[in-house]
Order: sequence, then C-alpha cells, then structure tokens
Amino acid sequence: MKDFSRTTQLYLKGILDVLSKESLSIPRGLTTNSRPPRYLMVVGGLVLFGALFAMTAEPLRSAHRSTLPAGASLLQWETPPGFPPPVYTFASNPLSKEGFELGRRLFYEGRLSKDGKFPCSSCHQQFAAFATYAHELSHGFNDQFTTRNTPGLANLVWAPSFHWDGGINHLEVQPLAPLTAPNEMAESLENVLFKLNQDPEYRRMNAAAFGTPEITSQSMLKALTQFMGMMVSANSRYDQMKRGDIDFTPEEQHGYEIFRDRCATCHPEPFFTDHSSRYTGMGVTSRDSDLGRQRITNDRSDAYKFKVPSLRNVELTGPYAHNGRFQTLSSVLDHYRFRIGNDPLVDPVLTGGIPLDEAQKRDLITFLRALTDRDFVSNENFRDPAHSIKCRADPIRCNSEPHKMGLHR
Amino acid sequence: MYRRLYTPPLPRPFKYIKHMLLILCCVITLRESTAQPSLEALNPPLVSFNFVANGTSLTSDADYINPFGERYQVRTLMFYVSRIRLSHSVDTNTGYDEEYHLIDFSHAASHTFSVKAPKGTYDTIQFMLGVDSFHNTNGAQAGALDPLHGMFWTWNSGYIFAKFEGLWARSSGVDIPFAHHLGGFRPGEDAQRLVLLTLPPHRIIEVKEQHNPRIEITVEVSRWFNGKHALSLAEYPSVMTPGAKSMLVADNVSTIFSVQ
Ligand code: HEC
Ligand code: HEC
Repeated sequence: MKDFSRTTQLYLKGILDVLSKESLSIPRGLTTNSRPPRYLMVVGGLVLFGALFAMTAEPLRSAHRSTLPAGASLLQWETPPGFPPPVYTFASNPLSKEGFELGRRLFYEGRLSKDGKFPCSSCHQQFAAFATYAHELSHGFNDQFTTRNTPGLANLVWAPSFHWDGGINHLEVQPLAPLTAPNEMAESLENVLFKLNQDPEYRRMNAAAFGTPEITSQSMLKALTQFMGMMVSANSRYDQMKRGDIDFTPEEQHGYEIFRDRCATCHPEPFFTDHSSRYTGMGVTSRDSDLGRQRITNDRSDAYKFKVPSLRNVELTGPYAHNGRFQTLSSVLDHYRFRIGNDPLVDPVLTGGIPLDEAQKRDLITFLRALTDRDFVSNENFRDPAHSIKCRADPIRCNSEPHKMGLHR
Repeated sequence: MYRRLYTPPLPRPFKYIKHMLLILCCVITLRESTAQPSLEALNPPLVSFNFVANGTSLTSDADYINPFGERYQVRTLMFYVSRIRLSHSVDTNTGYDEEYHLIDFSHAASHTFSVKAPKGTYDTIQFMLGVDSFHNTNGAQAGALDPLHGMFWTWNSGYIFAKFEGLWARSSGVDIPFAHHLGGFRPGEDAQRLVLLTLPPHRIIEVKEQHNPRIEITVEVSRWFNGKHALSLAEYPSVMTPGAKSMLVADNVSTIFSVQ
C-alpha cells in the first residue's frame, strides 16, 4: 500500500513537471482572463476532493493481496486470443509453478477420499477431457453412483458458477462438494488435512507454494484452483481456424453455419455455453427426479433447468446430459429434432424442436468434433505427476492405452 | 476590474492543474491514513456470551422444556457474529470491528473475545448475525470462516449462519433429532440480522488504560423457538436450506441476546 502511494505520488510529480513546462508554451492568445469568484473555486475544490476520495478508495482497499513466498516462481496467465477476460483472475491466489504443482498432485491424490480409491481424477480423466470415460454416472465411495453425469473440465476460470444446477458460486469452494459428498469421496475436511499434514512431502510443497508448511483448507483449495484454473482448452481445429492457421473442410464449415443458426443462442462462442440454466426436456425420464436449478433457487419456475454445458471436447465427454441419458452426439441431436414436440415447459428457443435433415445432422456432428483439443487431453502438465515419473521409466507400457491404466469400470 | 489588469500568463485549466494534482496527492495520503483507523485500546473491551435456557445455565445433557411444552436437549449450538460496533447514545464515540467470530456453545474458548474500540464510554453494542454476501461469494476463507468448522453448505455455496441441533420429544424422554441450519445471502433469502443491545446503566462500560471492561451477553436459548414467530419442533424439526424457513428462524435468533 505504501509502495502504491509512493509510486503514484512520484508519477504524479512527473506529470506535474511535464505539464507545467508544456503549459508555458501555450500561445497567449488563447488565455481567458475572467476569473470565477473565489467561493466557486472553493466549492469546486471540495467537490473534486470528494470525487477523488471516492475514486481512490477501491484500489487501495484491495491492496491486501496475497504475495508469493520467496523462491516461488510466478506463472504468467495468458488469455487466449478471442477469449474475454476471465471471471476468476488469480488476484488473491497468485499463480506459481509451486502452487500449480501442489494442486496437480492433490487432484491425483487418493488420500483426499475416505478409502483412498477416489481421487478427483477417478471421475475426471484427462483422456476424456476430464469427464468420466463411457459412464453415464460415475462411481464413488462404497459402490455408489454419483447423482449426476460427470462433466468435462476446461476453461473453468470463465464460468460464473459450477455444477449442473449452478449451485457452486466460486471455483475455490467447488472441491468441498465432492470431498464431503457421501457418494463421492466421502471424507471430512478435517481428516483430509490431517492425512496430508502427516506427509513431509506435502508440507514441503505447501511451504514452497504458500510460505508455511501447514496445509490448511485454504491452501489446499487455492492450490487445486491453480491447477484447475490453468486447464485452458483453446487449440481445437475450431480455434486454429479462428486464428487463421487452418481452413475448415466444407463439411465442418457447413456444420458451423448450422450451429451458428440453430444452437448458438444457448451455446455461444467461444465457450459454447452462455452459462444460463434452461429446460430442454432432457431430464424427464421415469427414474429422474432431479429438480435441477430449483434445488438452488427454491423457485418452481426453475424446475428441471440445468446449466447449458460447454461443447468444447464434447466428442470425448460422452455420455451426455446431466443424467448421462444420451450415449452419442447423434442421439442428443435426435432429441432436439424429434423428442421436444410441444412440451409446454421447454425453453422458448426450442419450441417445436430443432429441424435438421440427415446431411445437416452429419455436418453438425463433424463441426462438434472440430471442438476437440488434442493438445489439451495429451498435455503433460495436466497428467498424474506420479504417472509421468512411471512413464519415464517405462514409456512403452505407459503410452499404450493410457485409458486402461488405473481405471475402475 | 482590478484583476483584469493582471492577465494570468497561463491558460486557466493548466494553471490549476498543479492545485488539482496537489489535492489528488493529499487525498491519497489521507486515504492511506484513514483506511485503517487505529482502534486498538491498550486494554480492549471483552465481549462474552453466556448460554442459558429458561434462565438457568445451559448444559448439553440436561432436558429442557420449550414454550410449546416440548422436551429437548442441545447437542450443537453455533452462530456467526461480526461488525461489532460499540457506541454511545449521546457521545459520538464508536468502535467498529469487522472481524468474524464463530461462537460455539461446546467450545468455551469461543465464548469470550476482545473487540476493537477507541477510548470512551459506551452504552450500546450492535452486531451482525450471519455472514455478508462478500464472504459468501469470494472463495476459500480462513479463520472463523474456514469451511473446516462445518458451517458451509458445499452443494449450494454459502455459509450456515447459525446451527442448532439436538434431540426432542413431545412427552417424556428425548429421542427424535432436530436440526436448524440457517443461512442465505441472496436477495429475497437474506438471513443476516442486525442485533442492537442497550447496556443497562450499571453495565455501561468505559474503555481506558489499565482496565479491561467486559460486556456480558446472555443467550436465552428458549427464545429460539418463539422470540418473534412461534416455531415448535413438531412443526419445524428440520431447516436445512436458505429460504423462507431460514428467514423465520433468523428473526427468532436475533432475539435470543440481551444484556442484563
Ligand atoms: C465420484 C466422482 C467425482 C469425484 C471423485 C470428483 N468429481 Fe468433480 N464432478 C463430478 C460430478 C458428478 C460433477 C457434476 C456435479 C453436479 O453437477 O451436481 C462434478 C463437477 C465438478 C466440477 C464442476 C464443473 C462444471 O463445469 O460445472 C468441478 C470443477 C469438479 N467437479 C472438480 C473436482 C475436483 C477438484 C475433485 C477432487 C477434489 C472432484 N471434482 C472429484 C464427479 C466427481
Ligand atoms: C434452449 C437452449 C439450447 C439450445 C438452442 C441448444 N442447446 Fe444443447 N443443451 C442445452 C442445455 C440446457 C443442455 C443440458 C441439458 C440437460 O442436461 O438437462 C444441453 C446439452 C447439449 C449437449 C450435451 C452436452 C454434454 O456435455 O452433456 C449437446 C451435445 C448439445 N446440447 C448440443 C446442441 C446442439 C448441436 C444444438 C443445436 C442443434 C443445441 N445443443 C441447442 C441448451 C440448448
């Protein structure tokens, strides 16, 4: 804070010097010589004073930002071209290599779950763009199913809320939900911290990232957020086309045009979601009693509404919808084509369904496949750190069928 | 007319830029000195919460009868308090302490804490029950707001402002669990409540050196059921989400405090 004011004052002094020199060279002819009455100047001065007082309040108030410990190396955040500024800015959680690495290790850490078998990565698998491969619902503690289909994870720092019902309002607090849910990791925060603090390696990593060896709920959550926040997917064929690096095939281009015409109201670029909650009729099956957004807002008009999912990497994240009801993209599109009918509750944008002929449907799917970011799903930085070490020792075994390693089905 | 003879050599907007910038510098310097007013007295006043039920000291294994004739036992009783402000109805003295405190019946050390206030005489204490929307929407918090304390809804982000759990029964014996977890910060669901207590004349405190004044706040648990609205356990055995019920209970909770 002191620094801020000092530099501001020096900076202002600089401007002041320059201006007073410059003003000397203003031609005399432009001067006016009617001077306002003194009381007006006093009033004006006070108004100016007040306004400035209010204006300067904000930056100084937020001056108590966390800083990196000595020795930690700052990671530079880069917003991909064409993406808006993130919602989560890391302002109070400065990105560092050490923080990211701690978060990465925690994401793959079995001890975050009660029986050691359900790290975050058991449901969020990198090769499936961090969804669960081929599962409509995922497995959690004690042979239980998750309540909903596991979504892929990408570009989380641009999302204003999380989960299918938008019930989580901040990325940092999201991990508390799976950690304590009895059908997911089934642990208590207290016990997780106890287990982690028993391990000297975690204490060392925490000290490197946050300055103190003691792992707290805050340091654990902030580290996980650094890791998840860095999961940016922005190098699909679609992105390369947008940047002018490649051209779409005619089929992709045709699919893109249909998409912009019929789907982009709810799935707008560049995230392919407007982050709103809507009712699409995908939830109404006999076994589905999930009220969706209503559970959060207590508002009956929000019944069966779910958050519009991002379609990035959608080729890899199936089965689809909050309940995993659709096995393929083709069946999702058939829902939009044939099953909406005259459902009176359905979102007005979908009234009557979305007509698509077979050729349009085929090209639309080709376009959706162009949203797959191969670099993202094979990025070494997001891999299990232990797995990477194993790979260096035994690259052949490791690189064949990575999706069959360490997975339960 | 006199002034006209002394035509200023500089264009007016530029002439006053120096003054404006000077003002800006003053503002910034002043901001800095007012941003953190020094409230710490040498011997800060202590605030303590004393739990009673029907006027007798509360314990966790005794049976109590609530205003509806329902027998109950208390297992858990916790609530958040912040923005503690001491003031004097005549003087302009005020102390304002933003810090969050989690008062937990089963954790005696949490019942008493010091608050910041400048020297002076005070006859009123005011505090906010609950957690403001900023702290409900800004991610991982520490201290009293650490989610470790179990006062956070993980599936519908937000703090539980107050928790009251135990066993009850309509007649003899107690065996049915009850739980009130209240909270809510969104418009239309706000369960924060302002509590204002006047200190009786013999309890007025003076904050000065060589002296630790104390404000003893009585927490009368039985008013949880009927402080403002009649909320019997038969009708309200479980309140677990933000919303209408949470707001009713919050109204009652705001009446459990007094200084006697
Ligand atoms: C047992 C499987 C399982 C585990 C373990 C698990 N998740 Fe999830 N995850 C899910 C499911 C299911 C959802 C969707 C929840 C909902 O919408 O109600 C989800 C949603 C999320 C989301 C929100 C995505 C979005 O776009 O809304 C994030 C972020 C996330 N998980 C991160 C994590 C982290 C971090 C961990 C480890 C601390 C973790 N998950 C552990 C299954 C799991
Ligand atoms: C009215 C808004 C709306 C429109 C228009 C819309 N969608 Fe959706 N879409 C949604 C919502 C909401 C969901 C999630 C519904 C659920 O799970 O209950 C969804 C789900 C999906 C899914 C499943 C994704 C996943 O990860 O589970 C795909 C694929 C999809 N939409 C593609 C499309 C395509 C292609 C179009 C245009 C033909 C389209 N959508 C038009 C709102 C819309």
